[in-house]
Amino acid sequence: MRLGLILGEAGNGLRRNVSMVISVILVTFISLTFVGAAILLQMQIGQMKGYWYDRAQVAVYMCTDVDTTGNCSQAEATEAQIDAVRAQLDSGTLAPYIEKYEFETHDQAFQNFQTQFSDSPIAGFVTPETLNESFRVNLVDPNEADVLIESLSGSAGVQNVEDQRGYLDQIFSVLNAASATAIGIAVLMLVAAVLLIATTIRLSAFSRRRELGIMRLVGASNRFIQTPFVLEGVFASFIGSLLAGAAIVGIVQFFVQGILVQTLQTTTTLVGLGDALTVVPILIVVGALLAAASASVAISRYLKV
Amino acid sequence: MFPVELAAVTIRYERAGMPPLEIIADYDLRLGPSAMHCLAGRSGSGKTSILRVAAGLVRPTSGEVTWGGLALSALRDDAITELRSTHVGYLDQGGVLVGGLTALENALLPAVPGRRVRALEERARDLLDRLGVGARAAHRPDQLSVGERQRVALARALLLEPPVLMIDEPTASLDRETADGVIALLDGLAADGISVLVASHDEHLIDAAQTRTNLA
Repeated sequence: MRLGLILGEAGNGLRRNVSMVISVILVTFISLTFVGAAILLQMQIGQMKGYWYDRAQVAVYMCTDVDTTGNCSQAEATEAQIDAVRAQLDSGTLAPYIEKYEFETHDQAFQNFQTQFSDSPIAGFVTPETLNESFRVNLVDPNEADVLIESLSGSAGVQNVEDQRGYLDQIFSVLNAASATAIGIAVLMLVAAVLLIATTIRLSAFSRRRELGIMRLVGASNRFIQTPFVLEGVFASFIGSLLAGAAIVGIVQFFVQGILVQTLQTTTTLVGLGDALTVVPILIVVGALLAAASASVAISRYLKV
Repeated sequence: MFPVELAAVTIRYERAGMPPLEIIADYDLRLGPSAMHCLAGRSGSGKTSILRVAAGLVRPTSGEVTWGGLALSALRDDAITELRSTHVGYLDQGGVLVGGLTALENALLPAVPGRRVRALEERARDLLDRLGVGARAAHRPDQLSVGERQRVALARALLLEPPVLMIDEPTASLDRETADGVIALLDGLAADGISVLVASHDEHLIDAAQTRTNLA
């Protein structure tokens, strides 16, 4: 009869305050979805860094005959100048930092350009001569790009030395900002969820105050009396966290792996179903713990009064 | 032997923006076995407050409540609750029952915390019979009259054979004949050795008690 009483009381409470319970479910659902989105964004950043950071190269662009920036004066970099840069890359100063490098000629650059921008109208306007020849350098430690930039920027015939990780950092800062926004919204919503759960529980306890009085009279301990209310709160938040989990899986499956993959034309570094499925239990646990804590505090303070 | 003693008990309620409401000050009471004491007074005179303090449900503003020599002020809420469940049968006004349970299940509620429901089922039925509501054992509270509910609540209060019974307005919603029946029942319980503390404005009940406290 004990367990039956506890569950029965919890069930009663949920039935009597349906609209409040629905509010709790919705607020928990939204807040945990934002929490899940923030976690996914962080996972995404981690994956991208892991994949791209090491592939990012330092590009040493040689002058073309239309360049006026850097050390260029509208003159194509000479063979000697190219060899000089190559010698620097092979030298004792720079070689230890370099894992490998390649030289990309006008024609190779043109080929790559055509492949990348095949859908774009620009492809029709570009000729091999307008695309810089370049050394593509993979560093042992991509963090040491500055060494190369400093050594080669001033060399004759060099238009520009670029650390491609700069592009990535821009993307990462956008993702980090989005992540921070999601967390900010999530925190606000979680506060709302906690307060809503506390209010719902107190309302539930108030509407059953006479039965609570009886239970106290017959010797039920505080924990016996409080447990149904905590269960009510945890149950409602559990539904909300399941919905949030489904939303996160849905977002990953249909938006990220569906739409985004088509738009960005890359599958390698976007978060997938596996990542979504690791987030779901986190949401459930966070939801349950917050609900249990909120309900516990609410009911014990109510009963003390 | 489980005497209930109130020593210099003062009950005062603080009210925001108004002078405090004093129910009673420096009140002494000694309730021994085989005795019925009545807290007499009209509605609002503070009978329920004193009863609740005596039952350990509310702490007095000052003074001491002692059960069987044990001072309640030294005990935590859970400890008082446990002691009350086995030693004090308490009935609040109106005989409130738990809605979703039958009369028998309601009467068996005190057995739940100690997991003694099966062991005490026979006794519960027996009590309901003696109180005249045995035939209603399977009915839910909304199917019972006020008088029947009160008697089921009395059965609940008596289930664990407490040495002390505290009842708030046991005859309040009853007709004269039923009320007198309840009074006779309480008399019988007192004669059996139980200490009965009752709060009431019913003149028959006030007269039936051995001792009484007259509240304004």
